[in-house]
Amino acid sequence: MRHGITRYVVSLLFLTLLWWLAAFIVRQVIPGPKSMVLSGPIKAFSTLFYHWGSIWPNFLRSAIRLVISLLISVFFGATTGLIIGFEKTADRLLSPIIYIAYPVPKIVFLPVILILFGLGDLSRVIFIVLVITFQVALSARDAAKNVSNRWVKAVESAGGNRLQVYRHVVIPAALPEILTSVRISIGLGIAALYLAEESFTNQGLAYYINNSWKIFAYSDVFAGILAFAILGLGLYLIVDLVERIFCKWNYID
Amino acid sequence: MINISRLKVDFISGTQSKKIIEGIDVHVDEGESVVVIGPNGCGKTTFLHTIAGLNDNYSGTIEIEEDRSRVALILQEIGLLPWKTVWKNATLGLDLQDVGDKSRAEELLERLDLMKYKTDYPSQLSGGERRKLGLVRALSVDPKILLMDEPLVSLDEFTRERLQNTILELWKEKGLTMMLVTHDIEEASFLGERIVVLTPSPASVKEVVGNETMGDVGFRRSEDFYGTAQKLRESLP
Repeated sequence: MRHGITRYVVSLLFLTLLWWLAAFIVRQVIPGPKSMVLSGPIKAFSTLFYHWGSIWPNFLRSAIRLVISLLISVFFGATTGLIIGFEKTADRLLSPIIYIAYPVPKIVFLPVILILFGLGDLSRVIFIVLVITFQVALSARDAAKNVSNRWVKAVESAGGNRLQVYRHVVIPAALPEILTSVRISIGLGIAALYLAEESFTNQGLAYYINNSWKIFAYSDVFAGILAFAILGLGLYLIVDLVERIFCKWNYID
Repeated sequence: MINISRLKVDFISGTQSKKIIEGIDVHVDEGESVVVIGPNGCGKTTFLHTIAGLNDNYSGTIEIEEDRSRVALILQEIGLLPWKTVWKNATLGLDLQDVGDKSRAEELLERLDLMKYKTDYPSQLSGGERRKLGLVRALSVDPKILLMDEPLVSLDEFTRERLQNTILELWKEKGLTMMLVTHDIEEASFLGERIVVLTPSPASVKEVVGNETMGDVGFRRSEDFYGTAQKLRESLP
């Protein structure tokens, strides 16, 4: 655990150094007030610290939108994915639907969703769910397809019914891959969240960043980006923790 | 008691159909131990899986006097669940049947010297220990009939003989009706009161070799043991 923390601190220092270097070069190359557009890390961190009072409600709102979307996506995505992957009939019927729907850029539906479901949080959650769910479903499907028949037979020959096969074999076998897809979903979800919070809202980190752009508060823009990074990191750490608890067998040396 | 008559299995894929089992008649009395032996790929595994209820595509009749929950199967690849601890694997059958009392699993783990690995995972066990865990898992539900598909394949000679002794002891002690499939002549001679020799694919019964004097650990060194093994060698294609 201590080594883990050290790794994060070293990585943070390294990224901050790169950032500082980039800001320094921009200041040297581009003259005048334009150079201020890339705020340095020290300024951004101090803004994050001093403006935390006004950033926090936006952070919280974004976090709630994202976490709820993630939970819904993982529940529906993983459930359908596992069934499609494990039941041949479901695979034949539903896989083509996923293949057709998955590559469609969901951003085109954002205005439709906003009109149909209003300008509140519901629309934003629906949009993020739409972006993430397919990806989780596909990962879960592939994981369920790779479940070894000998495990299934072991449970069936011991008298296990279909539900018990899911509980004792399919779900635990697929869990590591589902959690990997959740990690990918966090990145995707934050991108979708940004798009969803850009307009018709007065709270959220994307709103905060956009608003800061408008008033040329560049260090606030970067403080907002840092807040996004904290949100993402926090969620990644939670997923890691979940994996350590529920996939202990995967962590044997 | 197990009674199998005119058992036939065809595998159909697309428009093609392949005969796997041509017609097998076998009767196993209560408490008897029957070993089915045959060359690799002759259909032994399909035969056993069909008896265990894992394959519905057959013709002929399979009568089993016991309730299905009292029939245990040990698969060739054992099928231990990697995400469950030794304890959870051992009690799987009990969990599936909602049996709260796990003392039988505990007793068997203790007896086969696996209790010390209770919280470990299967990947941390040796090949022999995994086989033993498979045996514990099958026996913890207190079966009346034990079906085994090459339960000791790919083990070193020493471990294999020790586990054969264990199987023999448990069979006698628990009065199990046992049916074991193997391609190992000595294993068949050591563990079978009767040995059913199958033909190469599609499988049918070639010969049944009697072996009534088997039954104790010392049998392996007796004249009868070598006599049975010799008969099997001559009978196998």
